[in-house]
Amino acid sequence: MILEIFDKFSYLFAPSFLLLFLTITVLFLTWLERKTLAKIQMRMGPMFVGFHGTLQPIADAVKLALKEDIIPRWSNKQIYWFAPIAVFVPAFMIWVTLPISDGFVVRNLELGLFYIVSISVLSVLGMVLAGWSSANKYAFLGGVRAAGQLISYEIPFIMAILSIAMISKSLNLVTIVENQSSFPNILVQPIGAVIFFLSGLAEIGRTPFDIHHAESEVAGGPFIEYSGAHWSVFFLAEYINTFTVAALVVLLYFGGWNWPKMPFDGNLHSFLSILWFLFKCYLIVLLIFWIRGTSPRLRIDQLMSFCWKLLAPLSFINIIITGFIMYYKLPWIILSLSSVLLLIIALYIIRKKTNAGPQNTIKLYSAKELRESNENQ
Amino acid sequence: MIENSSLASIIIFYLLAITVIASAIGVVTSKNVMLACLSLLAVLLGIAGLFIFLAAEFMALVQILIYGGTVVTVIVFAIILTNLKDFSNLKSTKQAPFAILACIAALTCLIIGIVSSPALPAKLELNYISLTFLGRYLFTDWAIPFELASLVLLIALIGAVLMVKTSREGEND
Repeated sequence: MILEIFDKFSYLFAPSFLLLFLTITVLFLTWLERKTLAKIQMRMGPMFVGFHGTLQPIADAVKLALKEDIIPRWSNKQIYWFAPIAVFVPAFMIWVTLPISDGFVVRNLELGLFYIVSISVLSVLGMVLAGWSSANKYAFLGGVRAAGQLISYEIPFIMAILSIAMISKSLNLVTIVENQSSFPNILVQPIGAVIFFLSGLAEIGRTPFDIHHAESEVAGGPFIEYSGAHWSVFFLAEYINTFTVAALVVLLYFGGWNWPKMPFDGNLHSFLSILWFLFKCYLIVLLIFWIRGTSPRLRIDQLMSFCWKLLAPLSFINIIITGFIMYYKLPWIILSLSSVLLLIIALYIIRKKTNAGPQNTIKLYSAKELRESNENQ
Repeated sequence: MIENSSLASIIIFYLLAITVIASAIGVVTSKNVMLACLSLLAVLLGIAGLFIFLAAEFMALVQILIYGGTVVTVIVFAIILTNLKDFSNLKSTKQAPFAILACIAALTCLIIGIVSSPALPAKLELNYISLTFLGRYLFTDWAIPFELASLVLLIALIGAVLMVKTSREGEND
């Protein structure tokens, strides 16, 4: 009887359940990130609220909810109010079609991957609007940076997704996962996985790609004027996006819940599949936090040239090779070998470029050198 | 939800239609350029909703991706790079009556055309066109128009690069 009611009102229950799941995930992710960063920097991290600071996220959430919501006098009120929603809603809507396990999904869309791509494009607008409406130079600068970065990295992101769609001959995420039951896609698409992961990091603005809200450069970027509940909405969206990218990497490249297969049946199987999927997701999330803790931020010109000169051409070549191998029905091993070869060539090019010395950078003169050059003139 | 013309589907349809029309009026009447742009976004998303209502999911997603995501972002970008004070005191010019006349004439033509069309009243036939079918059709029977469309985009891209380049050379000399 309860199940019947649940079935009838599933369009009400499923989104609220999803929201609950995502909120709990975000709360846990904030704690996990602080703990991971603390571990990397040989600190303890949050320790006082609850056992090893486990209740810290709840205390933070209460603090944020009670904080005064300041709206700058010169801001454009309606758009300032609207911008966090424009960032949060796409981040949430992507999860409508992301399957956590077989049959454990709000709506299993036939065009799932395409839906994710088209919805994720919408969040750029929110960033730009937030930066513009704050009436703050740093916020504006951050907004413009966000637009440039997010639109650029959209291209390798979509192209990597496209090659997966070619291999699985489907845009449905459940089908894509089920196709990986014998071997995960990362074995055939190693370079696609690297491109997808890196451009995904750039799309969500994680270090080393956090150019648009870099604290030391633009002091928080588009979010500089936001406080309290409005700011926490941005925060929520950012962490949901982090988890989304991790989930997408697992679904598209690491076989989701389906590889390696669980040797059980029935309810135990579906329960263990969910745990297996979440475990893989958290491994990717930990990788993201690890990268954040250990690598420095790119400059904006490095960011752009990394996208347009390396990731975008590589993703196009990847698609061409994939198409070639699929058309002539060559064995998959050739695809993975050529992909690895391509990756090695790319790494070689990067190494060669970085060894060639900095280009277009400012040379710092010591006082002595400056005096000598003045005397020479 | 769509198959049976139930009360819920009628309500959803009218909600979408009212959203589209109200935001379209907002685009024209709003004095704040940014708000006009956001109303345009609402119009485009509402039309995407109408596409979903007609079981054309692919069209809806393309609408969101190209118009909602990209075109509106480019318009917003153009607006934030201009000075909004230039638009702060917009007034109706002498051309207003002519514009109103032209609009009324166009609307009349459209209404007459729609009412006298033999296709009306149309029976709503929902054909779920699969993406595979669409893709095959697009790349075999309609390959040349498809490629021509991409050629137009390429020309626009080259034109943009060319314009930027000439203006920079002009600054140097």
